[in-house]
Amino acid sequence: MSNASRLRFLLLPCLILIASGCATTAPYDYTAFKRSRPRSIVVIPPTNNSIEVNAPYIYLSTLTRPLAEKGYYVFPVFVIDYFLKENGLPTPAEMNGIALDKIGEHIGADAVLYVSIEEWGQKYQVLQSVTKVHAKLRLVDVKTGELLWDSTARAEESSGGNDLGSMLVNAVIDQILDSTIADPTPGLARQANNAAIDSHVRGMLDGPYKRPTAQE
Amino acid sequence: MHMTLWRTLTLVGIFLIAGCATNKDIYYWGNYEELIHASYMKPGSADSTTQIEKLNTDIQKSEALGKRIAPGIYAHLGFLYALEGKDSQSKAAFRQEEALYPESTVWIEGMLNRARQNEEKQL
Repeated sequence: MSNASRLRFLLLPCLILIASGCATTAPYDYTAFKRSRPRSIVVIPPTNNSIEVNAPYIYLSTLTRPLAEKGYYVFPVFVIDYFLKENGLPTPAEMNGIALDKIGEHIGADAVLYVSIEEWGQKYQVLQSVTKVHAKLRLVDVKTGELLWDSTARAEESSGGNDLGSMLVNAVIDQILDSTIADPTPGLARQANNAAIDSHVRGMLDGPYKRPTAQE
Repeated sequence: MHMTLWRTLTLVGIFLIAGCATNKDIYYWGNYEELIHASYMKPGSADSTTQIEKLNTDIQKSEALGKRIAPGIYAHLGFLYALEGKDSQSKAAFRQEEALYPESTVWIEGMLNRARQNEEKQL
């Protein structure tokens, strides 16, 4: 076999793989989202499947900005959480069970963002630490209960240098500073949120405050 | 001489990039999300008076910069005033949120109505 034909032999399967790779990623279905055209979003305090007890409220404090900058009115998360607690729902688990018609009646939101945290925080391996942030997001229409959009916000970061000495020192320092000033999770969560919400492939559609015809 | 020029140019470049990045935002955010984080993670680190000051400063800054204040900030301010028992300031802040963001009307009117009914009961 000549070199050229051997090359062709290798290239052809590659091309087929690339082409089939493109074909399998079906575009995200925005039919319900487009029909609903929500103006406002209430973020329900997240449920927690991670072992970090503070994860729901750390995460909650990073969600307003990316949603609002996407063009939606976002109800003040801290005040809504307080409001729900005052109305007999002491924990996120209970808040996630509120009937949609109650949300419509008392809050008047067009859509609810339900969040479940799957993984959160730093894991210490022998010589380095890995920080993970992983949450599932579901946007639901308050009037119809239809799922408008869902995605996963996910980011991770490992710390620890290349040489053993500094890695060991870093791991120790990280451990000491953990949960005080050096908590990397809010920053990581912001990256994850932006990637999920602004994704060109399956991000959220622009809301009314971002669309060119902002005044409707 | 050459070095200084390069350094200046690099700095200008960074400022331009940073400037472009922030201008893309629709809103002025100030300390809002940091304040929410601190309220949960270090309760008591800042009393409501201090938080009110911070939010009012953010509101002034947004006005000075001619940027729209982010959704939720006036409502959060109204909530803090209510905690302090400053009812008229609380009501004014909530009404401001409503004026800027009519999407909040159902929720805010509901709260203000209930507060009014409570007052009437007490009289």
